[in-house]
Amino acid sequence: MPMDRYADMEDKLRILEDLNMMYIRQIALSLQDSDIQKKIDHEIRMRDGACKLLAACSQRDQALEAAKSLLTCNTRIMAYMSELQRMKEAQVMQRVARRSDGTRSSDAGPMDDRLPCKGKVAISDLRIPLMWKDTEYFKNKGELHRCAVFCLLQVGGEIHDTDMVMVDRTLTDICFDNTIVFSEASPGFELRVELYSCCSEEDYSAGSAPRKLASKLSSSLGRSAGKKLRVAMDPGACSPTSNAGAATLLLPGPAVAGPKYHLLAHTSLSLSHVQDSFRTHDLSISGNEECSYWVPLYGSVCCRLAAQPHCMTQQMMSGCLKVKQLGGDPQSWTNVYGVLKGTNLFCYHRQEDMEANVEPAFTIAINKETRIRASEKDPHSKAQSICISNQYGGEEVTHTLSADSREETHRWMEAFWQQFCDMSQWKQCCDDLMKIELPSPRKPALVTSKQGSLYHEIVIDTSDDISTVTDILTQRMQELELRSQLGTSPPWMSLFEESPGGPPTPRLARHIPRSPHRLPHSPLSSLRCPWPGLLSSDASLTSDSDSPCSTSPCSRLRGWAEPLSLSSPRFRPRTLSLDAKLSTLRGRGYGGVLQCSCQPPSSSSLAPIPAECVPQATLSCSSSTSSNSSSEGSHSPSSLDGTPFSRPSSARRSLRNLRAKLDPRNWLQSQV
Amino acid sequence: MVCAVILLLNFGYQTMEMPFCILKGSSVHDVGDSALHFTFYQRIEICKLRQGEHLILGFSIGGGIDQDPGQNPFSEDKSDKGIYVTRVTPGGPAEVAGLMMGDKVMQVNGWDMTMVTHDQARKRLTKKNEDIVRLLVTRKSLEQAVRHSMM
Repeated sequence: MPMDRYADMEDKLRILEDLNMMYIRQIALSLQDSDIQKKIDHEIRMRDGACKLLAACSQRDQALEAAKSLLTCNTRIMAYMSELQRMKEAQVMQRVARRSDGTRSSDAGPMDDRLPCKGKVAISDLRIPLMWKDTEYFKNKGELHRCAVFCLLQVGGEIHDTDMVMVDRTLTDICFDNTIVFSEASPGFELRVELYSCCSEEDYSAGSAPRKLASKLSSSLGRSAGKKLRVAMDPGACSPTSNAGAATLLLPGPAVAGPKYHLLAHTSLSLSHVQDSFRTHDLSISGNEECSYWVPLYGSVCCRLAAQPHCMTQQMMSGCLKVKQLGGDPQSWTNVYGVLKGTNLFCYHRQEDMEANVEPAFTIAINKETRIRASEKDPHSKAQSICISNQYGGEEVTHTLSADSREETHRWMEAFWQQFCDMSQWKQCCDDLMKIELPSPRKPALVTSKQGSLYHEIVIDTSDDISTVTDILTQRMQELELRSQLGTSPPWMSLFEESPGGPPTPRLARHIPRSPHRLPHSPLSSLRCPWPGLLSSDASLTSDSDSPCSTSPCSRLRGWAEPLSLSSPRFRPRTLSLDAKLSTLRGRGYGGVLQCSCQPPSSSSLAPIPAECVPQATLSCSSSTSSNSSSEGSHSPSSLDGTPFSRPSSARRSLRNLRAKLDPRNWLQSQV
Repeated sequence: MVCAVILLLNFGYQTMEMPFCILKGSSVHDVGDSALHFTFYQRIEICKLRQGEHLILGFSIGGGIDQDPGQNPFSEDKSDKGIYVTRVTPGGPAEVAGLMMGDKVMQVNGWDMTMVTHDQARKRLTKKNEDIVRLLVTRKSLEQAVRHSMM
């Protein structure tokens, strides 16, 4: 029965979608604008892809990424829709105006209708400071409450999203490394910055209780999906004629299960915020502490907002000119090739010079201090000339320009007027050219091999004390020492010959028989074997896979070495605290860690996790490990054994009961 | 799919009672990370035994929201702070009624026992004016037994 109802809703949604598309196509057709239609089609295809991915993926971070793409696609579609709507309205208004006027409105003169040039606007180095309260630490004992956040940046119809960042209370700021460039922005642009966040439950260990699941599902799924469906069912939202309805009409796709982002904060930046340095702006925060997607923001955002108007970067005008400096010989006209770019008129001897990047003969400044006027007809020549006056120091210097024909002169005047208009509109952006770094091609998400120093290999958590640091250092030194002993041949080969002194373990023997014909396997294992401490410090080892042996033998030993050669993805793995490290060393011994390197160093009540989801597993294990250690404190040695109690005999039980009664921290039992 | 799951959940959490066991859900394929689980309950009625001036039930409990769940030997989920039966006196009223060691006590005479402190739990079981306590318990072995019988 429920399935029928759902299928019904799906059908309705699909019909609405088709109607939408028809409507959009009609508008686009009438506007004879196929460009927007193509864009909308593209976005809809992207959205479908994102929906499918969301439905298909099982890992949380994949789902978060897919949900992010979905949101971006939806926003883009809405933007295109509203643009279409506006264009349609403008067309209609124009038609109405024409009809009422009776005459075609001609250009009302270039002076009045002069439009400033467009420019590039770039926002980079976004940083949003956070403000964690003390209570945060006590509320979520050991478990890290994480949220996935990203920013959506919009100028007009252009929407870009930043990469996704995972936020937990170890971060003091949310930093987005992306540089986002909007290529065609007018000086009156409004850059809307929106911060979206989504709660990311940390991975539960195997076997979560039904209660937990229910709360998780109902909060992350039920409300959002139900809301979408309700919107679909609501007849009020479905009138295709209403303008306001048009934007909401295009529903955000079929209701998909998965993480949903919510708007956490937003702000609008404009030309007045543009500066060639970092500035802090205020954020308007929506949502409150009760929301699942809440992240305690300080309330501001720092960024570098730069703008490059086209008049500063492109040649606005070029041509042959005759220049004479006032006060000089009336006959001393210099023939130059003038190029108007930015705040200068570059005068080259010849056109070829400019193309060859030779220095110009001289430069005339054209900035907001410059005064330009057309002078009276020079009695010696037929054309009007242009006088450009500048103040250099205390002195006023005037150049006179003369073009070949009246049309040329007119064009130059036009260019100068346009320049002035641009400069007045773009204001501070025209003082100096602001640097905009082009965003580099996206770095691959997985950093494969880190080269370099010990420094890069060590992942040090600030909460670790100095002894842990020296701990790590000594381990690394040992590793390096061994490597340096090996010389040039692949380390694993030499290891085999050297047979390093590492305690062989029964479990190791079980998995990798130490027979000679098993050559490729054992050296790798014995490389790992002597340093259980290294391995038990979980993901910090998996992340630095720069050991040379990780290339050749690892490619052969798929199931075995794969977890080791996989580097940690976006998240920086948490190192264990000192307590946990010691207890793992004490409690586990050596062999258990090697059994599958993805097995977490502690809490063996977890079932062994398959190699495919290792990065996730190591991370979740490391986080659960740290949570275990922090919550259990001094009890870690005992709780890290397999099961805390074996079936006790009655004598031991009564003794334990006595001890339990005396020790308040133990687990109380009462007889009823 | 979404709708189906929600409805199932709503249904499940009404805890409709069936004579022997309560079906809480069916394992559906991935919604998020995990699947729903079967949970089976059993109703156990214990008549208190008078021993001198005390009314005893003949078992011991452990657990509570104020206790450390990691030390519970009977719980599957080591963060489960529920009340568990840690000992059953041989020949006592609890054993006669069918209570077993390792059972998790969900309700006592209608009172919830999943979110109580240890002392609250003990008090709810030892009310002087009650002669009979009706427990709602769940145990792993029971679930397995039913599963086998269903197959």
